[in-house]
Amino acid sequence: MRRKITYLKTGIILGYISAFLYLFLTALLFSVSNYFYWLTLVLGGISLYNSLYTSTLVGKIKDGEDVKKKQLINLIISVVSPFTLLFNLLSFFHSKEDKTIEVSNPQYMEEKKEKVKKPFYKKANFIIAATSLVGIFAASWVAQIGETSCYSVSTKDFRLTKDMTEEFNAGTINALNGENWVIEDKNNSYAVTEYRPKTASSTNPLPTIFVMPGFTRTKATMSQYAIELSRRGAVVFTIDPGSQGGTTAAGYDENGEMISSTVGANGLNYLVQYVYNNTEKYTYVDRERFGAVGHSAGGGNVCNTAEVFAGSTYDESIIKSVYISGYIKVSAANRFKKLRCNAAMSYAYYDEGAFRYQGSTSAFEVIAKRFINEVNGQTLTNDKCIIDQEYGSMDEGTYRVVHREKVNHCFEMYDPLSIGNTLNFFRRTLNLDTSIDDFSQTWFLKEGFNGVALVFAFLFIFSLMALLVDIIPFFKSFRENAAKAREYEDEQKVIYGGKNPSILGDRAEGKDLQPRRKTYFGKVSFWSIVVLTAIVACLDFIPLARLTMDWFPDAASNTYTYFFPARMMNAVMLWAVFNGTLGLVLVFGIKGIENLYFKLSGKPEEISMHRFTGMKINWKDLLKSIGFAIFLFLLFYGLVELVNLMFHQDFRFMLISAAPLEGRYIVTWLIYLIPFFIFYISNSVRVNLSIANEGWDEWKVYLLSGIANSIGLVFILVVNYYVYFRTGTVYYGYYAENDTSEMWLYVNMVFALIPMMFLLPILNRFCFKKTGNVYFGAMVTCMIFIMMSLSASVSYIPL
Amino acid sequence: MYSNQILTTERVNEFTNAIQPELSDAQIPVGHEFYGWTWLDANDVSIKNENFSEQYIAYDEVVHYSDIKDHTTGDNITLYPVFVNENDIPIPDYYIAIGWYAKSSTSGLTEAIMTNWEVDLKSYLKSEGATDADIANVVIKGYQGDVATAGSLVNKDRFIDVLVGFGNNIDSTGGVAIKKKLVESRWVVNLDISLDLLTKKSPLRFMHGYKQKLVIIL
Repeated sequence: MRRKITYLKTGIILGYISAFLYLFLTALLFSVSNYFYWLTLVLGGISLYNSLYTSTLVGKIKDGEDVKKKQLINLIISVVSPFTLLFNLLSFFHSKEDKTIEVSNPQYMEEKKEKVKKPFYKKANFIIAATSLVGIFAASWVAQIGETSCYSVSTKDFRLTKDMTEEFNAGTINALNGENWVIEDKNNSYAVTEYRPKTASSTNPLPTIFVMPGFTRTKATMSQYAIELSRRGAVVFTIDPGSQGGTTAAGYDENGEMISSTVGANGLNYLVQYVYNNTEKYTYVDRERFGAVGHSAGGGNVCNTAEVFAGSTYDESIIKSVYISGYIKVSAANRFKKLRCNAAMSYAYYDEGAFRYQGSTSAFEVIAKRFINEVNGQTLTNDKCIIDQEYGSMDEGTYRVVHREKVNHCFEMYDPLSIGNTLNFFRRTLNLDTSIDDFSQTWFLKEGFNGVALVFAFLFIFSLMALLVDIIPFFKSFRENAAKAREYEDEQKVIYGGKNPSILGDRAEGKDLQPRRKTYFGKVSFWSIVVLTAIVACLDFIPLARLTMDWFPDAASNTYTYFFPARMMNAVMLWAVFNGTLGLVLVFGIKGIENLYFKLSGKPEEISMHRFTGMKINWKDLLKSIGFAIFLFLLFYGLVELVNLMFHQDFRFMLISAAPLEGRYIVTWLIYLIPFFIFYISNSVRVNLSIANEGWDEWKVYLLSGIANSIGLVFILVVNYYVYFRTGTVYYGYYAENDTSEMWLYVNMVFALIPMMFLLPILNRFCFKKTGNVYFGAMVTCMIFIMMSLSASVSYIPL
Repeated sequence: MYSNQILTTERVNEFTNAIQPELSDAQIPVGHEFYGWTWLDANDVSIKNENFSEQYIAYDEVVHYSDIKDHTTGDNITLYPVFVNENDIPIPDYYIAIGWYAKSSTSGLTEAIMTNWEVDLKSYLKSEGATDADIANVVIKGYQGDVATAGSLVNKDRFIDVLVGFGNNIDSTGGVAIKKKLVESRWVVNLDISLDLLTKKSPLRFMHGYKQKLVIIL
C-alpha cells in the first residue's frame, strides 16, 4: 500500500506542476490573443483539481477504504496531465501488499527535557539582531568605500535654494543666453550630491559632469555614473528632478500660477548656472570642461541644458559634452541642430517604450539619423546612422556617436556596457586624466553592499521585534496570544497534517485530535482562492492603473495636489485596495460557504470560525501594536538616517530602496497609509488565518504565501515580455487601440513590487507568530514598505 | 514599372527598423513617380494588380518589421524601388477633394479651423443631397512647405479638386494648373465666406474630375 500511495503522491506533485505549466501557457496564449487560452485554462483547472482529488483518495486509501471506482474516475481525468496519468496507472495496477515489520523498544521512554530559560543575549533573535546591526554598519562602510573609490573622492549633499541661484545669477552664462535661471518660489529647493575627487583644487581644476536621473527616479539611482566618473577624475553633481526624491515642488509664481515641476530642465539649468558662476566656492571645477549625462527624461533634460547653454560656437558653449540616454522624442531631436558640443546618444535595444516611436518622424532610426546630421547648425547628408560609428570631430565639438546596448529601459543605467560607453565618451571628449579602463567598473560594490545592508536592516528590525516581545514583560499579552494561536495551528497540524500529538505537549490532553482529512470542498475552495486571486491580481493591475488617470486627474497630469499626489503609486494603491478587499471577501466568504456546506452535508461538528480568532484584539493590545509598529518604523528609518550621516549611504538595491526621510514624503505617506493598510491586513489575514491553518509545515506556509502574493505580478511581466520579444511591442503599451494612455511605465514598477510582495506575507507570518494578532505585522510592514515605495517615486504634493 | 540596378539590403527585426534610402531625381526615370520599395523584383509589381498596395512599402522613411516580416531572410531584407509611369496611376475617385495650405503663417489656416470647416462643408453637402457614402468620400488634405514644394505635392497627388489658402503664385511658382481663381481679399480668415464661394458661386461638381484646380485665395 505504501508504494501505491507513493505513486499517487508523485502524481499529485506532477499534477500541480502540470497545472502551473498550463496556467503559464494560458498567460502566453492570452498575451497573443490566441483564444486557445480558454482551453489551457480549463486543462490547468482540471489538472489542479485532479491533484486535489487524488490527495483525498490518498487519505481514503490510508483509512482502508475501497476506492477502486473513484481511482478509475481519477485515472480518466488525469489524462490531461500525462505524467500524472503514468503514476496514477502505476498506483492503480499496483496490487502487492506491504510487508510490515513491527519494531518495539521496551526501553524507550519519552523524556521531557525541561526547558532552560536562556539569558537574552543567548537567544537566537538577539544574536541575529546584533549580527545584523554590525552587518548594516559594515556593509554601509564597504559601500562607502565603493562610492568614494577608497576615499579618493569626497561626497557631500546640499540643497540648491532660490537665494543661492539669485546670488549667482550674474555671470558668463547669462550673457550667453539671456535667460534668468533663478528659482522662482522661495519654498522650492533641489537636492544635490557632489562627488569631488581629492585631486581637485584651484591649481588642478577638473572636468565637471552633471548627472540626471529619469522620471520617478532619484539621484541615488544614478550613483553608478557618479562613482565611475569621479574615480576617473571628474567632479560630479547629481540632482533629484522636480517633485522627486529630496527635491520639493517647484511651487507657484507671483501670480499664483503653478510652476511646472520640470522647470529649468528639472532643475539642472539652475544647478549648472550656480556651479558655473560660483567662482568663489567652485575653484576646483574646470569651466572649459562641463558635461552632462541623463537617462530617460533625464536624457531630455541634459539635451535641453546643452541647448540652453550652447551659445553660438563650441568655444562659447558651457556644456562641452552631452550624453543623452534613453530619450528619443522629436522635441529633443529639434534641439540637435542648436547644440554646440560633442554629443552621444544611446537607446536600449530592448527599450519597452519604443512602441511609441515608430512613425516616419519619430522612429529611433530617424532620430539617430537626425542626431548625426543636424550638427552645429548645419544639416549633413549621412544616409543612415551606423550604430557605434563615430562621426565628426571632437576638437570642433561636432563629434557624434549613437549606441544601442542590448538591455531594457529601466535597467539601462545599471548595464556595464551602457556605463562603459558613457565613460568612454566623457573620458575622450572632456580629456579625463585617467588610466582606468572604461569597463573596469566598481559601482556594483556600493550597489551590492547597500543591498546587503537592506537585508540586514530587515533582519535587525524583525529579530529585534521578536527579541523584545520575548523578553519584555510589557509584551506578555502578545506572548499569550501567540501561544494561543500556535496551539490552534499545532492542533490543525496534528489533525490535518498528520503530525505527532506530542508537538502539543500538555495541551493535547482532553482534546479530540483524531486525524481527519480536509474535505475535497475545503481543498478546492482553498486552491481556488489562490488561483483566482493570482489571476485577478494579474488582470486588474493595468485597468486600475488606467483608472487612476480618471480618479486622480491632478496627480496624473503632474499638477500639485494633496489628493493622492504620488502619480505612479496611485496605480499600486488602487490595485492594493481592490485585491486586498477581494482577498478579505474570499477568505471570509469561502469559509462561510464551507460552513454552510458542512451544515447541509450533516457535519455540524466541522462548522467553525475558530481560525479567525487571531483577528480578535482588545484595545490595549491594539494600542500596543500601533505604538510598537511606529517604534520599529522609526527605528528602521533612524538607522537609515544614521547610516546616511555616518557613511553617506542608505538601504537599496537597484529599484528597491529605503532612502533618508524627507518632510514632503512623510505627509504623502500619511495620505497613503490607510488605503494601503487594507491590502496589508488582508494579506496578514490570508497568510496567518487561512494558509497557516492548512496543517502544513512552516516552510510550506512561507513559500506558498510568498508565491501566492507575488505570482499575479510575475504573470504581468510574463505576458508583457513574452509579447515584447515576439513582436517588438510590449503587451501593455497603450491602454487600448482607441485609448493611447501610456501604461508601459506602470509595468516597470512591477519589477520593484515583486520582491516586496514575496517578502510581505513572510514578514506578516513572522510577526503573527510572535504577537498572535494579525494587525501588528500588517502595520509595521505597511509603514516601512509604503515609505520605501513612495520615496523612490514621484509625488506632486505642493511641499 | 521599371526594374533597375538600385537595390538595398537592410537589417530589420522586431527591435530595429530601417531607414529607406533616398533616391536622387536622376535615379527616377523621366515620366515616372517613385512609389516606395518592394521586396519583389520591381518587374513583378504592377499597379494594375489588385494586390498592388500589399506589394510595396510606401515611401515613408521607415521600414517597419511588421511591414516585411514575412519576406525577410534572417534579419535582412533586400528592397527594390518601385517606379510607376505617371499615366498608369489611377486618380482616386473622391466625391470632392480639397487641399489647403498648411503653412499657417501664410494662409492663416490651422487644423482646428479646417476641422470646423469640414463639418460645415459636409453639413452643406448633405443639405444639397449628397448621400452618406458621398460624405464619407470627401477628402480634405493639408500641404506644407513653400509654394513650390506644396504645389509639387498637389500635382503628385493628382486628385485635388479645390485648393484653399494658397497665394496667387500657386500656378506660377507652385506649377499647379488652374481652372479658376477666386480671390477672397479679406486677410482675416473667414471660411464661412470661402464655403459660400465654394458652394454657391462655383458648383463643386463642375470642378470634379478636372485636372485644373479651383483656387480660393484668402
